[in-house]
Amino acid sequence: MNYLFPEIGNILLIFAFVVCTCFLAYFLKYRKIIDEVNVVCSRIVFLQFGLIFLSFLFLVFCFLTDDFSVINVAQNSNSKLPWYYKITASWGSHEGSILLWLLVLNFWTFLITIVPNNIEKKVFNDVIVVQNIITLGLYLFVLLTSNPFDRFNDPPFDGRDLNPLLQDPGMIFHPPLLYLGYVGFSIVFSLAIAGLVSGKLDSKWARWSRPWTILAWSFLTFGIGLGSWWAYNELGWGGWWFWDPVENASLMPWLCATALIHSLIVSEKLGIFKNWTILLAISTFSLSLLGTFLVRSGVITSVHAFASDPARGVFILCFLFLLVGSSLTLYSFRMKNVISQNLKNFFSKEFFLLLNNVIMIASTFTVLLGTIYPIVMDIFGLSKISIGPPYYEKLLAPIFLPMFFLMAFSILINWKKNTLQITVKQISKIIVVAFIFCLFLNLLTKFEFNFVLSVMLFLILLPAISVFSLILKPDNFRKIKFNFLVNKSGMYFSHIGVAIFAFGVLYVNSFDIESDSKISIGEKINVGSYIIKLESTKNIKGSNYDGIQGIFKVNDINGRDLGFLYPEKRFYVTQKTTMTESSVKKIWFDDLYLSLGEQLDNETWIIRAYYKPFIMFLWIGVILIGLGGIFSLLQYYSFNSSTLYVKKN
Amino acid sequence: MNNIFFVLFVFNLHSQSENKLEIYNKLINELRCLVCQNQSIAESNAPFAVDIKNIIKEKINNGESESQIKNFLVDRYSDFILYDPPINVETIFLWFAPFIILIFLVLRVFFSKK
Amino acid sequence: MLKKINFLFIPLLLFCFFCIILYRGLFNDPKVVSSPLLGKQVPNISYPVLNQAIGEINIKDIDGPYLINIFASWCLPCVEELPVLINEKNKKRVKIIGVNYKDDPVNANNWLATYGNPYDVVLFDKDGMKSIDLGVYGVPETFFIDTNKIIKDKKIGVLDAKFVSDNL
Repeated sequence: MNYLFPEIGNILLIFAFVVCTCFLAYFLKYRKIIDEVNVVCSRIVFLQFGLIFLSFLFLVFCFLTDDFSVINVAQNSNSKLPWYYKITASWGSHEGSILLWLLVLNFWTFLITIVPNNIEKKVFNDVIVVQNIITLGLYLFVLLTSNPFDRFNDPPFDGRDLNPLLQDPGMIFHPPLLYLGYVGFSIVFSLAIAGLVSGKLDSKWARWSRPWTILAWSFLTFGIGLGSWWAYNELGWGGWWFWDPVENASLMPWLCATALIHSLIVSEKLGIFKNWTILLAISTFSLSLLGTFLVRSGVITSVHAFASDPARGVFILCFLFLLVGSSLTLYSFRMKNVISQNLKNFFSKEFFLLLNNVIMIASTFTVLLGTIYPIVMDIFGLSKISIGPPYYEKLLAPIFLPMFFLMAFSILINWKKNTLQITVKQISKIIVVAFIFCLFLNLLTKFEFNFVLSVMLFLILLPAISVFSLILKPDNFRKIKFNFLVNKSGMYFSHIGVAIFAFGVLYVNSFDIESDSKISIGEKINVGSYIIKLESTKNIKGSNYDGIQGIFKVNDINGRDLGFLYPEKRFYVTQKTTMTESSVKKIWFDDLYLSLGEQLDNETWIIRAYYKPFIMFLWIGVILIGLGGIFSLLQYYSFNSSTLYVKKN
Repeated sequence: MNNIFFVLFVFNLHSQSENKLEIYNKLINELRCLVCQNQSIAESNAPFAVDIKNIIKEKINNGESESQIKNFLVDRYSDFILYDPPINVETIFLWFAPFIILIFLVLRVFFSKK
Repeated sequence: MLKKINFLFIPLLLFCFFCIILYRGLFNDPKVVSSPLLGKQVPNISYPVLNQAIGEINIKDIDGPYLINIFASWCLPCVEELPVLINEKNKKRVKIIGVNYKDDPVNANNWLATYGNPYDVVLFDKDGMKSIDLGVYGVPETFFIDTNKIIKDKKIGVLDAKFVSDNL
C-alpha cells in the first residue's frame, strides 16, 4: 500500500494540471457567457484546490511512512526524525516547497471564491483566469523540473536527515506563513490585470483590492517576524537580520506591499495615483516571483538557498519574464485610457502618503540593488564584491528616518483641503510632546542617549504620540466606540507597532553587550548587570542527536536568583554536523543569551554571552503590525445583523 | 629634556596599545568571513575567521597599518573579503543610485501638482 | 499626451534589462571567490612534507605543469574528487602536489590508505596559515600551475576532469 502513496500523489498533481488547462481552454471559448463562467470558476477552483491539497497530503504520508524510494524523502528525512519534523521536511526541500507554493496559490484562489465579496462578475472571472495562468506556470515547473514524487530505482536504507538547523518549531510555521504572504499578493496582481483589461480602475476596484492585499501583507509580516525570531533564538549569533539575499527576497515584497496598501487607500478615497497603484500591484507580486527565483536558481549565495540548478533557474526566469513582461506591456498600453486625477494640495494627507510611498519605493529599490549588484558586477567582469549589513544600514537609515516624520503627520492631517496654518497647528503640538518625552527618557536613563540617538528617538516617538493623540481625542470618545474601533484600530495598531519595533531596534543596537570568554566549572563571568556561573555539564541524547549541555546559574548584580541557562552543543549523527543550541532567558523586555563555543577541556569552555535590552520590543512591534492588518479587515464586514456580509460602497 | 621624551614615549606606547585594539576591532568588523559568507570576521566562529583574526593581530603587533593589512588580504582574497563594498568607479552606482532615485521621485511628486 | 505614454513604457524596458542581467547571472557561480592571484607567479611557500620529520619543499621550486590540491581527511567532497585525481595520476600529464590542510598526520595517512593516494608528494600545512599566501579559505581547492610557474587556474570545490584538460 505504501508504494502507492507517491504514485497517487503524482497522479493527483497531474490531474490538477489537466483541470487547470481544460479550464483555460474552456474560458478562451466561452468567456462571453459571464454568468455561466462564473459558476464554472467556483467549481473548478474548488476541484483544483482539493486535488492539490490531497496531493500534498500524500507527500506528507510518504514522509511519515519513511518511504525512502521517494528521492525527496531520502534526501530530507530519516527514520529517527521526530514525526512532526517529518511533516516539516515535506516543505523543507525545493521540490516540496514548490508544491507548497502551488497549494497556497490554489488556496488563495479558492478563498476568493468562498469569501463573500462584491467584485463584479466579469472582473471576478478574469481574476480567476489570471490566477489559473499563474498556477499553470507552476504546474509545468513542478512536473517538468521539480517533481517531489520522483523515485529512486534503487532506494537507500535510510534518509540523509533533515538539516538540523531546520529542526525547530519556528521552522514548522515560517515557510507556510511566508508563502501565505507573498503568494497572496497574486490576488491583487490578478485584480490589477483584470482591471487593466476591463479598463475600469475606479474606487470600487481599489476597495475590492485592499482587503486581499492587507490579508496577504499581514501573513507576510508574521512570516518575516517569525523567521527573524527563529534566527535570533536558533543560530546562536544573537543577530536577527542579516541582509541575506533570501531574507531580502521576502522583505522587498513587504516594502512594496506597504506602499501598495497606502496607495490603494488614496486611490479609493480620491481617485488619484492610479498608475502608481497598478504599477505597485504588478511589482509586488513580481518581487514575490523574483524572490522565488533568487532562492532556487543559484544566482546568489546564501545560507538559505536551496541547491542551485541553472535549469530550474532558466524556467522560473522565463516564467517571470513572460508573466511580468506581459502585465507590464498591458499596463503600458492600457493605462493611458484610465482617467486619474492629479494631486491638488501640498498640505494634505494624500501628499504625505505619496511622499511616504516614495520612501518605500526607494527602500525597495535599495534592497533590490544591493541584492543583485554583485551579479551585475560579476557579469561585466568587474571585481567580485560582497554587499552585507554595512551597506544596507548605511543607506536605509537615512532613507527611513524621514518616514517616521511623515507617518506621524499624515495620521493627523486631513484629506484634500488643508492649509498651512492648520497643518502647523496640528504638527507643533506633537513635536512639543515628543520633545518632552525624549528629554524625560534621557533624564530617566541618565543621558544614555547621545545626540544622534536622541534625534532618532525623537523621530520614532512622533508617530506613537500622533496615534495616541488621536485615540485620546475627546471627540472620538463621543462617537460610537465600536464603530471607531472597527474602522481605525487596525491603523493605530500597525503604526504603533512600527514605532515600538523601531524603538527596540534603536535600543538593542545601541546598548547591547557581547562578551566572549573562557569559563571553567565553578567560575563566574559578568555580563552587563548579570552574573553567570558555570555549575556543571551534562551529556544529553535526543532522538537523532548526541550532545553536551551546560548548566549555568544566573543572578543579577544584587544577588537575586534569576534561574538557569542551558545552552547545548549537539552532534547530529546522520548528517554528521554539529549545532549550537543557544539558551535565552527573558528578563522583562530584555534577553540574556548564552551559547557554547569551543570546548577547551573537560571543565572549560569558551562561551559567548549577549545582553540584549528591549529586544522584546522587536517581536511585540512586529506582532502589532501584523495584527493591525488583521483588525483593519474588520471594516469590511458589518456586524449589525450578526451576519458577515460585505459592506456595500 | 630626556624626561619629556621618555614621557612622550610612554604616552605614545600607551595610546598605541589602545589604538591597536581599536584598529583590530575595526578591521575584524570590516572584513567578511569567506566560509560563512554573510558574517563578518568578528561575528564568525569558523576556523578561517579565527586564522584571519590571528594574522591581523600579528600584523598589528608588527606595526602594519590598517590599509596595509587590508591590502594584504585583498591581494589574496580579492575585494570580496571587504564586508563593506569599496567606493570606487565600479560601485558609484551602488552607493548613489538609491539617493538619486529618491530625489527624482520626490521631485516628480512636487512637480505633479496641476 | 505623448510624454505620458513614454513614461508608461519605462517599467517594461527596465524589466527587460533586469531579466537579461538575471539570465547572464545564472551562468556565473557566486560561491566561487575568484582569485586575484590568477596570472601571477606562484608564491614562495615552503611546506614540510608529510611523514618526513625534516626537510621542506618550496612550491616555487617545483617544475610545472603541476596541480596543487588542498585536501583534508575531514573533508567529504575531497573523497568525491579523488577518482578524478587518480585518473590524472594515471595519465601522467601533470604532477600532483597534495597539501594536507589543517589536519592530523595520523588521520591523513589513514585517509590516503583507505581512499587512495594520487599525489606525487604530500605536503603538510597543520594550521593552514602557510596556505593563506595562496588565498586558500577552504577545502577542496585545486590550483593549476603552468610551465612558467604562473597560477593559471583555480578550482574551488570538487574537481572535475575538465579542469586539467582545459588548462593543458
